[in-house]
Amino acid sequence: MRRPKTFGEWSLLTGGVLTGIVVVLAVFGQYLAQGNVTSSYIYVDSRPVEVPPLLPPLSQVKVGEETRVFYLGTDQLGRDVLGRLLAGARFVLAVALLSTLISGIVGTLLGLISGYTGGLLDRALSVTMDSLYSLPGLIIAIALAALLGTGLWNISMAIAVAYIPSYFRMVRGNVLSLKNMPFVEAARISGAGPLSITVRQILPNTFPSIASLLPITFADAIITEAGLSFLGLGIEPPTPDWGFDLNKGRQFFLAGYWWIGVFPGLAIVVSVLGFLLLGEGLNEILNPKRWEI
Amino acid sequence: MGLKEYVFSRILLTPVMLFILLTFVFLLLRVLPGDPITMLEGKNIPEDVLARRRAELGLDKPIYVQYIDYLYSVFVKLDLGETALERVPVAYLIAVRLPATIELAVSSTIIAALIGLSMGLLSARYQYGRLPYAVRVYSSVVYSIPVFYIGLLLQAFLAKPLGMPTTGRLSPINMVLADSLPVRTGFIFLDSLLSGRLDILSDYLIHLLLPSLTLGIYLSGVFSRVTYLSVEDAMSQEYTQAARGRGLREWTIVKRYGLRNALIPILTMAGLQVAALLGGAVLTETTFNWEGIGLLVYEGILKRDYAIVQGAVTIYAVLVSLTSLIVDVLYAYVDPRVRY
Repeated sequence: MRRPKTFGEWSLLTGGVLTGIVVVLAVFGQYLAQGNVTSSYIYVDSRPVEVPPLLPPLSQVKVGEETRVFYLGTDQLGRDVLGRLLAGARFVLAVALLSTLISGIVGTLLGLISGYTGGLLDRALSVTMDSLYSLPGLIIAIALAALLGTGLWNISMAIAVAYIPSYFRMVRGNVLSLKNMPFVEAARISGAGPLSITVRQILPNTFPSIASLLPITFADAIITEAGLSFLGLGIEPPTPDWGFDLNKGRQFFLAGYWWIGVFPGLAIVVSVLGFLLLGEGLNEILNPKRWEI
Repeated sequence: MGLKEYVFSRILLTPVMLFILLTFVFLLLRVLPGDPITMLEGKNIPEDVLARRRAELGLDKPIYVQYIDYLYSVFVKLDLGETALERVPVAYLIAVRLPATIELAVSSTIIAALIGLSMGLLSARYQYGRLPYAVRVYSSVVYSIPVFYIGLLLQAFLAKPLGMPTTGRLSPINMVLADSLPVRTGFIFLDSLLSGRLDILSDYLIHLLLPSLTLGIYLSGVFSRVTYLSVEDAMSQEYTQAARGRGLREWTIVKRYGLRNALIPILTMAGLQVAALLGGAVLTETTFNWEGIGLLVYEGILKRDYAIVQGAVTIYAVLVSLTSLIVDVLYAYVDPRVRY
């Protein structure tokens, strides 16, 4: 394999590696952790053993014959920080995936309809989407999450609404520039109906821009989810969640038990950065001319 | 149309945009499933109590009546409802908290502009070196750090070792003293300065440093990237080549031709960043216990007080549309080529 040359290729490579690590850890991470994710007890030979709180990273706990290693230490309730990190990854990634899919599909559909039909419907949808776009994503998500309540679906919905306008605006713009292209004219002359033209001629040509937006929405969704759960609008405790753990552990973090805060935060940064770089790399390669360093 | 007419017509347009935003807030909050009262008092509330509370809040009326009521109370009465527990007008709470948020917004924008402009200009000046890559890496990494994580890291690894305060706008004693200053606008910066209390002012500035640094760093990523991109774009134009040909110094070219022509995209970005700023302020204020609107939202969430969240979202909509007005008017001043 040749060395990556442009910044775009570097982004794609770094992003791919980071997201790969995050996804693999989220899926297979349970084999690494000590097991006490939601309670302060570990079970050895089905006997409960209480784990001391605030153990520093790499602490070993001897239980009878066995030695358990807490690679990232334990939190204020004696729970395994690594275990919570890995279990939290699954929830966060699930929320990000769901909300990315929802906003991508809804935004693309509305953008297609609005751009192709034009007229009053287009005006109304554009104005609505523009005003939604002008509101901060986190604020929209807060308003919705406060109303819908916690849980995987509700949070995903709350986050998704904030990112629908991005897809809408992009797809609508694409449709407007595509719909008078010669190949679309040709399809129209050969008797294709509006539905067929939209689905078979226009939609495939919007894929490159959608593809590069998807990872960026994914990154945004992770960071918005972290914000929501930091504010207490995430999943119900004691289920692990990075933002929530950061908020709950912050007095201990500030009191010097750095591992409680540093690691969940790093988990967020690494996952967001991975998807962000992936999206930027894709964008540069699929839609050239935007970045030319 | 002259500049005055443009500004005037743009001001007239703001209520329209506001109207659309408020309609949107209303739709978000009222039409979607979920009920503020069961949210507040649990699902096991007796039928008659539920009906009475719904009637009190006007939730039993048809949706279009509620909509007109909502617009009427926001636009005409400037009324955002009352908090559920203490029955305090939400508009009052927001008015009390607004200065703190504005202080934070202004100071963090200054910090973001300082970091962003200097990084952007430097890398445009030395655009064939490694600096542009550094800007790109910086902006991506900063984008990926949740703003509350920046805040927590600064608290733990900067404020604690240096013995700086980590929360609040003032130390407790000065908080009491600040209430009895002769000048009282709610902006502690102005109050203490105009009253000649430099001790309170310095205490305030120390408290302000970390929150505004947090939010400033968070915003500086996009700032530096957009500055670099737009200055670099202007630097590759023919007029810049001509200036170079005339033998002007590179820094003069960057400032006179690069930065000036880049101001419009930078302003556009700054206008759009207000949304990010407000969102980030919620988290920053929560992290630093900074008593602004963002912390009010957090308290509203904790107390499950729906009126607070709704009122704050309304105010955010107002702030966003006002900023877009200011940015549009600034365009006209900055760039005489803008067609009104």
